[in-house]
Amino acid sequence: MSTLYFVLTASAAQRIHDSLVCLSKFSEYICFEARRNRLTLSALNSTKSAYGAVTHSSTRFFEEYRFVAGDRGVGVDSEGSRFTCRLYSKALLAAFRHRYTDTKNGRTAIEKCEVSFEDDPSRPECRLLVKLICRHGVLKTYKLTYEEVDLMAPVFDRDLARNRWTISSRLMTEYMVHFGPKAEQFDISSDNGRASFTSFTEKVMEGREILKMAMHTNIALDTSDFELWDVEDKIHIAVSLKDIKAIVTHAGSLNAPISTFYSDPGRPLQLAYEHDGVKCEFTLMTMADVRASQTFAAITRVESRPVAERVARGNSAFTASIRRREPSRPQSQSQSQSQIQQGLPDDEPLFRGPTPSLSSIPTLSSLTSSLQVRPNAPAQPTQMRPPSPPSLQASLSQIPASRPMTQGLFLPLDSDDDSDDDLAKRLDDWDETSLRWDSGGNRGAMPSISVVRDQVAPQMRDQSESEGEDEVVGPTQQVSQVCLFFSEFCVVGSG
Amino acid sequence: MRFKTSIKNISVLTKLTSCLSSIGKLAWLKLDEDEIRFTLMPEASVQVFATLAQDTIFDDYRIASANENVINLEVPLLVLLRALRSCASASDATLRLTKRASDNSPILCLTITTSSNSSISSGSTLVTQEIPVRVLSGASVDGIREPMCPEPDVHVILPPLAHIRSVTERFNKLSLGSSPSRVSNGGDGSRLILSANMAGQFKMRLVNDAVKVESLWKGLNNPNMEQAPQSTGDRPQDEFAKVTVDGKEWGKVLKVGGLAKKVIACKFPVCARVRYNGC
Repeated sequence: MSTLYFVLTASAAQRIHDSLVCLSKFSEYICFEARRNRLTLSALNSTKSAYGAVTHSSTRFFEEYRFVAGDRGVGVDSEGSRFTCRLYSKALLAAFRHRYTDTKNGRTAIEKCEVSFEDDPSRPECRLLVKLICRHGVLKTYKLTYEEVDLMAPVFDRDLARNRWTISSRLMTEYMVHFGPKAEQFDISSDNGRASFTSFTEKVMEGREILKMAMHTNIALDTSDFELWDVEDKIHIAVSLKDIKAIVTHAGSLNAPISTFYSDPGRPLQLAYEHDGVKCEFTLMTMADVRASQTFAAITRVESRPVAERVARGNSAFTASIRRREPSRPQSQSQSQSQIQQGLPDDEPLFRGPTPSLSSIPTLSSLTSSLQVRPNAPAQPTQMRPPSPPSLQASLSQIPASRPMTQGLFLPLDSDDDSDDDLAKRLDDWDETSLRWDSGGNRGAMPSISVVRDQVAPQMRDQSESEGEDEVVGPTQQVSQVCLFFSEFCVVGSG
Repeated sequence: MRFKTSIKNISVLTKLTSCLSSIGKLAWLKLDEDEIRFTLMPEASVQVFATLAQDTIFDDYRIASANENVINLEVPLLVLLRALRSCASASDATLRLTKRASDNSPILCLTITTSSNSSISSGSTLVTQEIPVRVLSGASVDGIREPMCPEPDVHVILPPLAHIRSVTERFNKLSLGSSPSRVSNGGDGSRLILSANMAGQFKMRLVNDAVKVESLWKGLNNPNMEQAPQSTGDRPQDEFAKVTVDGKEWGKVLKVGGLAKKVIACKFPVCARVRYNGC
């Protein structure tokens, strides 16, 4: 039976509250991991594309900290025994509510906070007991139910991150104020010695809906504002703006400089900061900034491209891949389908030039890169996509920039290309070869796995083939167009 | 179509936008060579026509279009307000109409340079806010005109709007609390009766089944308008002219107090007009 007991001062309880607020933005569950020398709170979002962990040193952060490991549910590794569990974040937040820890409010301010875990095998419920000892002899007790789980955490190798920067969290908080709440993505890049942060939303709207679009914001900074700036020019990476905002707010509450590590788009990025016995690490999956290609939003105008233009691009990836798989399919068929896709209603002639999209006709690879699925969006329905030959899977990971990010941080890039039938089998394969998790307890068992997907896949078979594979139907596509794609795929499939 | 200007009076534009955004979400912004005009015609009853000479807030103003150098835009006010808030510490702000390179959608691009006034920031920072807008054709806004109002019976400079607003809010609460069946009240909001006379008095009244309250302000000014009320000769100086307004809408209108210095209310037999001279 493990026992965990710790005592927090009022200001430490405030810190815990701040961390919980931040982590609860990622997941509805918050995980605890107790070890002899530290207590870690962590959260992994539902799509496994973002992970945050706040580690508290047992000696520096707590007034008193006792952890005795038991036998049940405990993994032993090089760092000793541990105890892991998870709690519902809303329940935790209720216990560490801000007004209890607000020292300005004298009447309800707490003086001390005692937390203990009741892990008694003879009793069915597992309890976390939070006792808030307040002024005037008031004692508030919360009993929360927890669930013992095995934790997993991504392993991020900072040595492989070629790009890194550090900035004061105060400054970063100041900059984040400019970003409106509605935009979805946050792009980081470096251009001509200036750092650039951009918020954008991929959703494309038409007509009056345009006015409901989120504001796009860009901030260009002098790199002298950074404590460290070591970033390659022209690399664009994008993460969720909501995640970044939560992290920056939390770092601001600790007033600690934020360090960021990343290598390439499509690979994870880590944000870290440390202050007074609290160490925070956030690992986020990144996407290529589709705007880097300057064509991302031309997606919805694909259908308005002239037929001739589309046919002339006979060597384009998409047509090529269709022909390859369906050699007997007459060219005229694809022509007629293109024609059906014409006729986007042009309700705002004032602002359209004569050839609005010709100047930026997307190549298919850039096209598909803009159709990336948002990290928290549901996975694409599989029947919308052509079943893909398994042999292609390896080659796909070589172009991470154009891959959707459906499966999160740690799964292979091509994970969403599976048909339902072989999904289970494929998952088994991943478990053996590619899943890169540190579940702590069994680190010894899998010593070779230490890095999150920071390697390049072996050999690419055929550029055009893999681009053809990437064809997906975006969330903002018109129904008629979805049907068209579907019917095309049916033709491909039957051949 | 070209529009580019630098903003010299950011605070006025921000306050104006903030006032307007409390009344409606979208505004028609008409820009021509001399004036800029915000027009709000939300479905609710309050319409706003705000006209400014372009040089009160803009500087280095350049406009060109095929439609006699007039540009009509539909602007989301909350987004514009959000963008303008970024200007709080700006040393320079530029507004221009352009197209977003990536998707060709029209945007008002607000470029803000903040100098190194922050103690920890050393270099200058450039913030760009892209506000989505819709370009309206001249034909589509031709029909929108400021309503013709009859000659006013009475005009009066209102007491500080903050005062009236707090009283209005109390009246609104009273009306909510005292009328259990709102249907009998004829609507979901309270009906306030505003009245004023040419003897410097302004009254606000709420009457319903349960309560009857009235506030009276005295000693106000009746400004000399260019066109003197035609009926002045006929009506006694202390006769009140009355209008009935929706309490909630009236409360919203009073929020412009942040901007206005002098407020003139004109009372007509059938409608009321509130004019603000700001800046």
